[in-house]
Amino acid sequence: MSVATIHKLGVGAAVLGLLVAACGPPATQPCHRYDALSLTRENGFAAKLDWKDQRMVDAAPERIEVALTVIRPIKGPIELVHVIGDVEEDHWPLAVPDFNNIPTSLCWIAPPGTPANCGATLQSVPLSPVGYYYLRAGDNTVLEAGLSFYLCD
Amino acid sequence: MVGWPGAASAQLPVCAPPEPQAPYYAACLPTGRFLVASFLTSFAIDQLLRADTTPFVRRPREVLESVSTEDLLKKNAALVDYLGKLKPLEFSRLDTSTGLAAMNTAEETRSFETVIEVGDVPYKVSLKLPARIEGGYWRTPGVLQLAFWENHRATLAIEAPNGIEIDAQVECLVVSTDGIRVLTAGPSVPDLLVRFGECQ
Repeated sequence: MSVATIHKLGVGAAVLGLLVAACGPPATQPCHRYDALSLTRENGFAAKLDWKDQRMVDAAPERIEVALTVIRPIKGPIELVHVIGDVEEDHWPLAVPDFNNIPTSLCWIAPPGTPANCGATLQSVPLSPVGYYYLRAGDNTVLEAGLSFYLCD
Repeated sequence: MVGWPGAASAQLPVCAPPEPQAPYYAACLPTGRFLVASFLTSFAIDQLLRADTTPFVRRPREVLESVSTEDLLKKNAALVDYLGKLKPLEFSRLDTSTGLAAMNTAEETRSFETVIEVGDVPYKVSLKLPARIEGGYWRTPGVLQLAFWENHRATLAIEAPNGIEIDAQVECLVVSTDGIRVLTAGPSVPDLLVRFGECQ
């Protein structure tokens, strides 16, 4: 089976998964994705997150997802910095994979003990998403980034 | 935040966040993450590199054909024909992460009913479209959120073989690497969710 066929089977199923979703009674879900910020040239790759929820990133499968569009080749790590008040709480150097020259990449920053696809893990948990985030691109040309949080009850 | 043009220009999500205490119609598809990532990459390229002056489009029939097997298309020929009659959905960029989406609909395409077979299971599906579908979107390389303005939303009805019926306006659509979330207008119909992870 070719990669293209696998893709078609999977995406077709994704679309029709919406129909299958209608097959069972509705129920609460243990985990959800919370889309938070876009970091772009318009906002100087920096933005504040007003987080009014009590939920925090604590244990797997909870994580931060950083989605990046970067001109290839990647030239060293790209850092995501988290600031609360005037204090730099965390910074995560992301070793963004250079996969087949595809311009977009997803990095998961997860609690310790979880596989880190870009080499960054949370050193201190629980972590509240609230605060200010910015990127240090180093020698890279970053076109945009997106931040989301995957959190569970 | 949802449902007004200013939301799209604020560089903020345009769909309401998930409600953990609310029930969802849900399904799980572990392979979906990689496939949606490919769709979002293509969207990022159009948004960032090709859409400075002219809108870019997604044709409904081509979207279905590019994501379906021949068997699936053959079994659902009526749906393929219908989607072929729809005009393309046009995306007009506002800035790096936002834009406006619109599709005019011909009168003869504003109502459609069919039975869609998934495997051997038939689902009765009907779709009602306004004269113009219109909304705003917010995106990153990991998500596309598309909010439809009031009076410019599609109405989707599904009758599953087990008797469950859904009949709702689609208020917002979230396509991300973690799943697809369809937000229905009003509190009476639970939202739909296809998750791509934690399927056990």
